Amino acid sequence: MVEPVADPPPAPQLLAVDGLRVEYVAGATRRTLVDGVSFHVDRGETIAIVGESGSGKTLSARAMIRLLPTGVEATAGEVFLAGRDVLQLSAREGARLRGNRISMIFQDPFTMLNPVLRCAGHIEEVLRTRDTGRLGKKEAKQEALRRLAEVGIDDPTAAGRYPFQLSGGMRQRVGLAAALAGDPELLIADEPSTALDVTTQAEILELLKSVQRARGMGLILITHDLRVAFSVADRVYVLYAGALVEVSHAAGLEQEPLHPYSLGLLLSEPATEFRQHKLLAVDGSVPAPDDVQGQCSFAARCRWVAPECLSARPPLLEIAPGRFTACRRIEDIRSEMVVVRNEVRAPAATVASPGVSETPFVTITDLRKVFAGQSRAGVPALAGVSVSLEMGESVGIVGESGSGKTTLGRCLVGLETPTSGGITIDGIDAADYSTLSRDDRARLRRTVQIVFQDPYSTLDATQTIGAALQEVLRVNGYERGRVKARVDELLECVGLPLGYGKRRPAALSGGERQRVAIARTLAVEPKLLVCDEPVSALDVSVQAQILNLFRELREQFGLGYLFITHDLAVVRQVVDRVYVLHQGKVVEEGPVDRVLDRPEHPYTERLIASIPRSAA
Amino acid sequence: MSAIASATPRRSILRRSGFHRMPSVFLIASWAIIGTVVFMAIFGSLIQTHDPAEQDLLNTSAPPSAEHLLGTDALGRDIMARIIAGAPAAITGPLVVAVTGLLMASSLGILSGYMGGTIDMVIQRFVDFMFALPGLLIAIVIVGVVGGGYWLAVLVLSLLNFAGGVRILRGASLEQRALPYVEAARTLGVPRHRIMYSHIWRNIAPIVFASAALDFALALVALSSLSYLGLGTSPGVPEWGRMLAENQALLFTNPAGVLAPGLAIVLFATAVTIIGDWIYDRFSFSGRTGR
Repeated sequence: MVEPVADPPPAPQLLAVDGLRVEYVAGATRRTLVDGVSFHVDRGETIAIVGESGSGKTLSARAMIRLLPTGVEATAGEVFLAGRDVLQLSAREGARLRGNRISMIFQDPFTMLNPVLRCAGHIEEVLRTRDTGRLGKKEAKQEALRRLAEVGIDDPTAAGRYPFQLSGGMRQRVGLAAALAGDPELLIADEPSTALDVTTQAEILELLKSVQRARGMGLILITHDLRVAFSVADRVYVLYAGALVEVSHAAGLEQEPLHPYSLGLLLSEPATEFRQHKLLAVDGSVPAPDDVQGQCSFAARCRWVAPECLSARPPLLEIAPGRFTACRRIEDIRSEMVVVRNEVRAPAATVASPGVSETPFVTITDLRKVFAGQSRAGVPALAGVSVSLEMGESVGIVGESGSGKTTLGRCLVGLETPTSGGITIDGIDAADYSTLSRDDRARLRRTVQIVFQDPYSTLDATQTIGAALQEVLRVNGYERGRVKARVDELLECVGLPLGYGKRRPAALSGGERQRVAIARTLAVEPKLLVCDEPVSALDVSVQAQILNLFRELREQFGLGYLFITHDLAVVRQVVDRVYVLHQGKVVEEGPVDRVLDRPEHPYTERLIASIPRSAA
Repeated sequence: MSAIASATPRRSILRRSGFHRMPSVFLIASWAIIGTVVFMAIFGSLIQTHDPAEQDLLNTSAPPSAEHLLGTDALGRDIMARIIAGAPAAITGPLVVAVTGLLMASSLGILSGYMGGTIDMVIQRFVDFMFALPGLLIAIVIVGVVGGGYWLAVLVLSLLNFAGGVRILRGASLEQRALPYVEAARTLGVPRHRIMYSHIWRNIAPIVFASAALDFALALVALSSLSYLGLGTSPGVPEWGRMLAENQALLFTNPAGVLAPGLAIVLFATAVTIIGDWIYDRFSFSGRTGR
């Protein structure tokens, strides 16, 4: 396998995985989840395993530390750590391995820690169960404080706090300190920054990188975000449908991806610096590994697919020093891929924002919302927010969690009633939906609709897609005879095949469910769509599809958006004007290009500075 | 790539030997027990070898024999025949209690959880009150005072038993209420009753049926207890709880006379509970897969 070119003496391999195969086994049914993956980590090296959901990235890592879920087994391959095959160890030996040689931190800082254990307790627990030199209570406590300082928690009182008293970023730090307590040679970080706010995300990645350097340990970063991978890793492994499609040093991959999938993944990541003419979306979604046996796993979604791609699984070949690709046609299509890249990266003309007129379509004035029990904490969800929207305008609300952006959107559609302040939508006073007349309420519902973040619970799981759409049409008094035809129209509008009407949500991917949710709102022909983080739960390649759909619908129906998001790249792609929310207040507003290119408020500057960038 | 060098060999012996399939053994047994009781209730009269009321006074308190498979009681009645004849009473009463509970708990529980506010408060105070009542004790008093009777006992139990279900379904509805699909339905103008009794009900249906199964088992035991105390069925009517009481004296001459009805109650109640659990496991979160 590859050695990084720059390393003069070949560093001893810390971990080598060869032909790892992970399967779901239940009685006679077997499903392939990871299909022959090989990689290695040297001492002091950081690698990133990048893939979308269903690519097998997490399971590969869990197989290495023997933490596979029930029913999932590593059925072939070798995982050599310090000269021993981890897969051959007994359960007890495997447990001893964890924490001491190899350790892992997880995505969710809210469930990773034991809620009844104080922060220092998590670290002491590991320290005191180590094989080498048992520590006394007092020494363990001292050591725990030292360990917390290593991850940037200098405040000694933090050690005595319970996890619920800490912010997400702090919890992730405590989790990291606990994972490091056994002084592992290899740390696996599974999406360590995904659940965190943008600004905290950057801090945690920075911390991981510095700890890895200081300790000279190996680090495996698992992520779906290529930008995160580039900012931390030396080498990047791109995983697709359970198999590796490209392996490269980070700089090379960032400059020129050598597999159509990596290219798609890279390009579907919306640009932060400018609005793209069109987002490149990879059609379809990740297939199950068993469905693409004996062929290139990406063939069905590849624009350069040729007959030879379908006849056999292409091997991972080295085509340049440190560059491996599983694309058979790479030499033929390399120049075309460059063209595509330049095309997609071409900025569109800057967006002109006409500004707000005297009588805007939606006016929100001095909106305040204090939730019960929040008054004592001091910070209300909304502390006097004023926003206005023109008909058909797309406006972004940007902020981190706790900024009040979601509450604002919910007030607009009547899911929350503001404590004070005014909302006027199309001439109707919509501050309190419960005081409205039946007619006004019905009119508002046909004017403003909302799309939610979580595609998995946004649809009633017991209802077919067709039934869900029909229900909305019926309750809104749609002509009975035309309902069926209208359902087909709606499905077509959002780019779903007509046959989907008979399916239930479980048979749909996340992106498809989000399309249905959008179709459902289109059923009432709204003029304004409140989009509450509509793409943040989706894979990157799917994210681009949905963002393109939003753009198309706007062109087609003149739909306006109130786009609520934490993602500045997304905001850049779909909105005209943007409001930056911080702790329930608007700190900055203006045309999106102006705000993102020349931020005036320090908080906006901080947000922009925390976008992951490559290490170079 | 090494051959099948796998992580499996060291897996626990119990798992490899198929021990993890044990629950399905319980499941099959439970279905079999329920099937048998239902069969006895419907076709019992066709397979009876003896009239359950027929007294063989020359052959009282007899131990099991070829003629009387489970022996006879103090009046010389065939125990087997009386067990079979007791099946309908073991099903209908508990079923009425369970279905009443299901309807009351669904309607009040979802209403309470979804609407919140004053409606929730009133329903919950009512439920608190019901909880404070010692159900079986009141049943004993009422049935005792009014003069007993199977259907009276069923009625009293039906009215006293649904409070727990209301609380369970209120909690489940509260959880559903906050989910985007409910909020989407609200903003799309779907009427409240449809949201509550179509959307939410279907999504918590596994809990509804599991709780109904539990009610069924509890009602079976409660009705048997009342009969045991002589407050349920009138004398002479074959009923498992009553048989338990009547045949107590036989413990040393024909133990089967006591053991059989006792076992019938325990097995049937357990089977229904297990199936309730299975329904919950099997159907909850279905449709949420593919995550």
